[in-house]
Amino acid sequence: MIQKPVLPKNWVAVGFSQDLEKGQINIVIIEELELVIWRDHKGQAHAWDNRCPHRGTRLSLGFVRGNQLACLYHGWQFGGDGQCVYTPSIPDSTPPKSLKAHTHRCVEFLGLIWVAPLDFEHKDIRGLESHVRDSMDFQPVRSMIIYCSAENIFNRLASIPFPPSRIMSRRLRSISNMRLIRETESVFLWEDDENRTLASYQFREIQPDFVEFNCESEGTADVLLFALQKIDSQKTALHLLLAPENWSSDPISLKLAYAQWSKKLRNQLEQVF
Amino acid sequence: MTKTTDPVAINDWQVIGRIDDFLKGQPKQTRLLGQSLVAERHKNGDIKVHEISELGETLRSCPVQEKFGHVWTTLGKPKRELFDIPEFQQIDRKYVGCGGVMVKASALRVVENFLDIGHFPYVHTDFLGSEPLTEVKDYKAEIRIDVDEVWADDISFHQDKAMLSATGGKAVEYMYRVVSPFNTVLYKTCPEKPEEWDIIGLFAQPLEENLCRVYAFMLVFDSQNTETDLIHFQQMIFFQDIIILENQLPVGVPLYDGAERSIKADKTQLQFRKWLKQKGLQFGTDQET
Ligand code: FES
Ligand SMILES: [Fe+2]
Repeated sequence: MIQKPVLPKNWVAVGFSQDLEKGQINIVIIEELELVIWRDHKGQAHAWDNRCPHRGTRLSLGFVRGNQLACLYHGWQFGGDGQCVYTPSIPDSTPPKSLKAHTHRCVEFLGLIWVAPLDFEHKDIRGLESHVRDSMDFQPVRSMIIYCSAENIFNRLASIPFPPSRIMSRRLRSISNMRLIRETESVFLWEDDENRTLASYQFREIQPDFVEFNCESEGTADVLLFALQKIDSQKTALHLLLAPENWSSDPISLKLAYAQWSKKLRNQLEQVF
Repeated sequence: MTKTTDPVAINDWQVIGRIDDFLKGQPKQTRLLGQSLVAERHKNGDIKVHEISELGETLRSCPVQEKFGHVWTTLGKPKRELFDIPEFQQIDRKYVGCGGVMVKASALRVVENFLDIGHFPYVHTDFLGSEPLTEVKDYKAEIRIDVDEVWADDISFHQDKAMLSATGGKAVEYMYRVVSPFNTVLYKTCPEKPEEWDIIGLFAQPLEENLCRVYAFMLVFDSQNTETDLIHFQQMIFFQDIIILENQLPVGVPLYDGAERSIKADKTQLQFRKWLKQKGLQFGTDQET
């Protein structure tokens, strides 16, 4: 008999807020548990098990009607708290309290959507907030699937330094012909024929599967945040956020440059030794 | 998957195809309850069915019968005869076999969907129902112990186009009959002959816990439409159901309490689940952990 999947007892980032518009419905998977993530028309995001309490139909097949989610199979409608408010086959009665979707905690923070089980005791996301320097302006870089376990990624992230923003904003899209030389445990030298830039790195675990990577380079400090979402033992979603020393005159190009670099990161993480 | 150990599913008759699917000299492989089978029609016209191993070696032979346009076999020793559908003897009915359709779902979910009225306005919009006429009025559903079947009747539902032969929306009467866990028929108002019922039936071949092939058929009074048109109508309706059937979690039907919530309109399904539980059927169900 297979154990049914359950949510881990911590906050898990499942994607960027900007990728879930009002009325939109997405599917995400956390440790093999399939969830429906949807945003109502007030703007509130919700995370539920992706199955209707009635006959198990994937709620992601349904429709957002105002601030309710309607199931495709029999048209049951659920309010934001998961309570069923309408059963069309008994149109004139108020549905009993027992008709309720399987809901989870869902909050937005740093431009990410976070999910935790209802019975998670550190339910206040500000617990997480106090660990992140809130003066920093974090922007989403990219979400990507990596074919590798979250543990494996976690163990190797610290050994894959990211280019400092001063190099990135100079070269924008192409860092491919830069050499990277390890000077000490945490100090690296980025160089090409014209430039040599020293950068020192610091790696910090904020909570399981959420890490901060700092880079100090010639007076500038950049921060990358990696939020890992375990999909299963072989597959992880990585949500990458960036707060550079400053967003410069061309923030879109800078973000794109890091998005390009993140593909290299993925290749390295997926490499089998 | 390997052959199920569920004695209830093993010791019962199961469909493995339409009669015309098995031609002389053309042995066909199929699956039943997690077991590979080979079926071949011999020169004398008889079909022989054998279980085969993963390597293709022939193992034991299985009993066969051809009935209701389909071929039936069993992996065990059925305690009772194959059910009867007496309407097959009414020669003025038109028999239409719709062929087999693979569905990535438990055969039990398919049967439950067949017994379900509440989904008509949402899944078969403008054919079998539409908003705002979504109410399922009270009806009767019961396990009939004498025949060991589940029955539902006194059902009436507003339908826009109940059958291909129907013109205009009207209230349509229904009766449901579950003859064995994976086989069921329904009776509905016959647009052409109001004193008779049209019959639609569904035989599900449980290949694996999460995979089945569904053979639908009709026994109707319809002098207007061609067989092809009737098949197309029925297939269109069924393809709408498949969207749901392949998206139900868990895949198996949960028979334990509290897994899924039901309301008054689900009476037939509740009787069906109770009946399955009494039988102790496991194949195609979801097990509590
Ligand atoms: S399964 Fe969702 S309303 Fe019936
Ligand atoms: Fe249907």
